[in-house]
Amino acid sequence: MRQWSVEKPERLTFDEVSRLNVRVVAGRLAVLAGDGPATLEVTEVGDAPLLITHDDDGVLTVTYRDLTRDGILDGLMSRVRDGLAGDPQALRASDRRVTLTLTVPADRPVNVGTVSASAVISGFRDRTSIKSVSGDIVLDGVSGEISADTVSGDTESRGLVGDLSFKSLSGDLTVAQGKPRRLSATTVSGRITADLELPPTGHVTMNSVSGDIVVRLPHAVETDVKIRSTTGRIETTFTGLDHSAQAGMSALTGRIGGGMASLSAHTVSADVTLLKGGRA
Amino acid sequence: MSPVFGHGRLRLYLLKLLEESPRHGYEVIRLLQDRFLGVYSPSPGTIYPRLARLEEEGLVTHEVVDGKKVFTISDRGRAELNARLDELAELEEEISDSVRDIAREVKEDVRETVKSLREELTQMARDVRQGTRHEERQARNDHREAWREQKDEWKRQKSEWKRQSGEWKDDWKRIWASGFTGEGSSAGDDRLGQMLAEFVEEVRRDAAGSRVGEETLATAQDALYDAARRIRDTLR
Repeated sequence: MRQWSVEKPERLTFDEVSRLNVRVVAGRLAVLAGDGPATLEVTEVGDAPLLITHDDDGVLTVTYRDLTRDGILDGLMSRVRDGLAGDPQALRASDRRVTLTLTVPADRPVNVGTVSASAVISGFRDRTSIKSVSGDIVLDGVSGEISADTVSGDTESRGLVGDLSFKSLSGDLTVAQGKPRRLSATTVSGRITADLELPPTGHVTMNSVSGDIVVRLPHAVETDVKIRSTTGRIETTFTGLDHSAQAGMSALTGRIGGGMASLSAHTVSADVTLLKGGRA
Repeated sequence: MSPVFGHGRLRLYLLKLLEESPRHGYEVIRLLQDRFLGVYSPSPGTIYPRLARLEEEGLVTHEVVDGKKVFTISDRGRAELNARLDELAELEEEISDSVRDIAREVKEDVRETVKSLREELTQMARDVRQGTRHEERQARNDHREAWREQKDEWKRQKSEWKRQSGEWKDDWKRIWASGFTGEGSSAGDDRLGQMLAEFVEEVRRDAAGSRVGEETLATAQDALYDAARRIRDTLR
């Protein structure tokens, strides 16, 4: 196992990285896929030194010494979610501001956790998971299994393919040019905006309490639709779906075309709009 | 990206790549692409003549392995590389700058796409809602008129019902005799769709953790064929 403590701007190269774990607090993070050797470039690092480890199994970890215990960030995030402030000492952002650029081969799993740092992740194909508290997340051209989990950070994505899972408390989620085999999005008050191409067995579920949902599907999509809302309004530009409204629940259900893809959405007070894309 | 490789710097970088390890031309091209995350992709028409030139100058040598030329740096090549280490450091600096630029561009690009998508879809959603509100207003205005028409309609229908009740009894007998084919098929169809989708999701979830190989696919194909045949049989 090799270890580095990085206190000033530096550039490191690693051969054979099997997976990547990053835990940072504040600043900016970019993780890009590239088939050359893995590289880490630190262009800014706060008072606290970054701890880089490259273990014998090829696992590359970028973190702080006091964040190394597994799951500490998860614990931190759930505390923040529950409305309790984290230990302010551990989170003093000015000590922990970093600017990092990592390149790692595209077929490696990537696992990222940040508190307020923004993150850009591009081009990966295996398992990509990212958690942030207030940091915004940008995902571009990522495929495989993808999960993004934020408290108040926005998640913006383009060209995602595969199994997608999103959770947020108040962060907005946008999916541009998404092609989900499976998509599950859960939010309390974040808005969900999705422009999707549904494969024949695509399975999309969205849950929101008060964040409005707008979904656009292609003109010629084939899917079952099941949208329910307690007090929100449900609208669509597709024809042939059944609107029903009873006390305390309105619904839009039915089938567009044939196929066995499914789209379902549940909200409490949020509006849901299902839009039909233009003819290709 | 072109300024990165002005003034003989591509030559320097080629020497650096060959100093890391002997490589064939294709590998050199791919490495350059990777280093620049696909933004700079030199063509073979650029790289091969350069390598030939380096060989003429005695900076690299080649041997043919499996029909491919593999280039190796020579002592003279290594000497030039050592003499230009400062320049190389500067070049690497610029390369990482350009990787950072790529990261920034990706971010800006996605944000731009996402922003315009959000604006577009939000506007479309707003239009749909306004359209619906307009229809609702229209519907209220039409309501009185509709009510009057409805009363007339009922009068007409009352006499029609009387006339039809005779025929109706006959129809009822006929329907009773032929059974209720087709009844409830829409709800059943929906549930079948849901079951299929749930099945797919469940299997996908199970398969997510492991590698799906040819053998698994073959087994799945057989099982699906079997299941489809059994369902089809019950539909006859």
